[in-house]
Amino acid sequence: MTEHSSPWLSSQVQSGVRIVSVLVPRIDAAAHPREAFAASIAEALGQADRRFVLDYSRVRTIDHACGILQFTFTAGQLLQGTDSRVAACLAPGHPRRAYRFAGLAQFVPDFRSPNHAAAAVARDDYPLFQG
Amino acid sequence: MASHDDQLLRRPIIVVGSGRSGMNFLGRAIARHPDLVAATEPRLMWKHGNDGLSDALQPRHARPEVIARIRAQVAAFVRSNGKRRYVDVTPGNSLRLAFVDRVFPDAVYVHFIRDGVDNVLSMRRFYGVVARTLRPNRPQLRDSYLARRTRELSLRQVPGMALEAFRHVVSAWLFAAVGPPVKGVRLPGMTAMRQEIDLLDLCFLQWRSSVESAAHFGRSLPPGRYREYRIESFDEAQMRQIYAFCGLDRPEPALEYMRREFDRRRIGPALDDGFPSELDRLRLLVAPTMAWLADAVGTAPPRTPGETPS
Repeated sequence: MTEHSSPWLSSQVQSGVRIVSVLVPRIDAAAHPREAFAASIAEALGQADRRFVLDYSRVRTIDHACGILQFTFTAGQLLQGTDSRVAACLAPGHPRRAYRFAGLAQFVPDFRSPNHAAAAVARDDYPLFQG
Repeated sequence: MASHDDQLLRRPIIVVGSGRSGMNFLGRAIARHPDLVAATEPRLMWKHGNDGLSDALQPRHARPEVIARIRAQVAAFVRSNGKRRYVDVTPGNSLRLAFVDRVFPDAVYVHFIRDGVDNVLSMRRFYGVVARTLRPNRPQLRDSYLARRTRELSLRQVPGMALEAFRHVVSAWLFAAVGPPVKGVRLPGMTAMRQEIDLLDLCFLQWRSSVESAAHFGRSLPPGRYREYRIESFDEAQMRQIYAFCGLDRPEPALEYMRREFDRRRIGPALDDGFPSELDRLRLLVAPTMAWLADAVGTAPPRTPGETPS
């Protein structure tokens, strides 16, 4: 089991599910680079992790320039063709509304808590990511 | 008074293009000329008298009272800013250039075009975020969407705007009753379309309708009234061309603005903002229009956008 943490991003395995959590209420392109998020996913893939939760539950404010949509696309590009299962968890309100409105939930379904998301992707009947 | 207004309304510069194509940058850059003032997306002004319709207005919608109202508002805007000529940056105008041409028969048009895949992905990302909140998307409240709409709002437009604002924050399960929020250019039947297709496909339709409609009309105009530029290859020489095309001298402030604000690295990142299958599909969708834009000057676009429902 590998655990990784930075002031704004944590990556840990719980019951066989890799949970990548954004720990800040607002993602800033300069302070929270997409490359770091991508590296955490790539590192987990390198360790043969295939069940993921993208935990955005602490993100309260999003904008179009940088945020949970971009991170999810990044994860999708890395997970494509890896036979992975992935779910997201979003805060209620604008983050969840925007995520669903933009159509991302049809690729990476969202759940109301990281635990719910982790329980879902842990099941073998949860669909493989088809990005 | 009327003749003074006519002076202020002489040869307005209409910047057209799809939303998220860089039009606002281009409009602001052109408007660095000391005689010019730019209005950023005065959507409600252009819809005066045609509020219930999509953005695809036809020449018949340019009734005398509509023309008079829009021209009076533009003249007042130019006068209140102490300027002498008008620059307009409204994405919806791309769908209605024949209408705009009735309002301003001597207007000159500058069409800014961005790569279709990049443009559509940027639209999806932007519209997805701003369509589901009332929070200002700009640091200054006075520049926000709500503040700008409030300034140009007429009483007759209040119910429609109130419904639009309600859609931004309502739960998705109510969309069936009140309709989903829509952003960007309003295509005919757009609210109904959004119920059936996802945001990416709708953004593609907005992009295609905007660039094809604007290019089709613009290319039919006589020489000296319409120019197209690609944002990916835009440079200072082309800014000088635009100034000459618009009959403007002193391009230095615009060039200085361009050096400060135009960051070519910001154009491409949207290409990362999609899932692989979406990118493959989008490339196929935009290819015919991009090829037509590149090759077929003076011919009909691959598919002509539909007529405005009455």
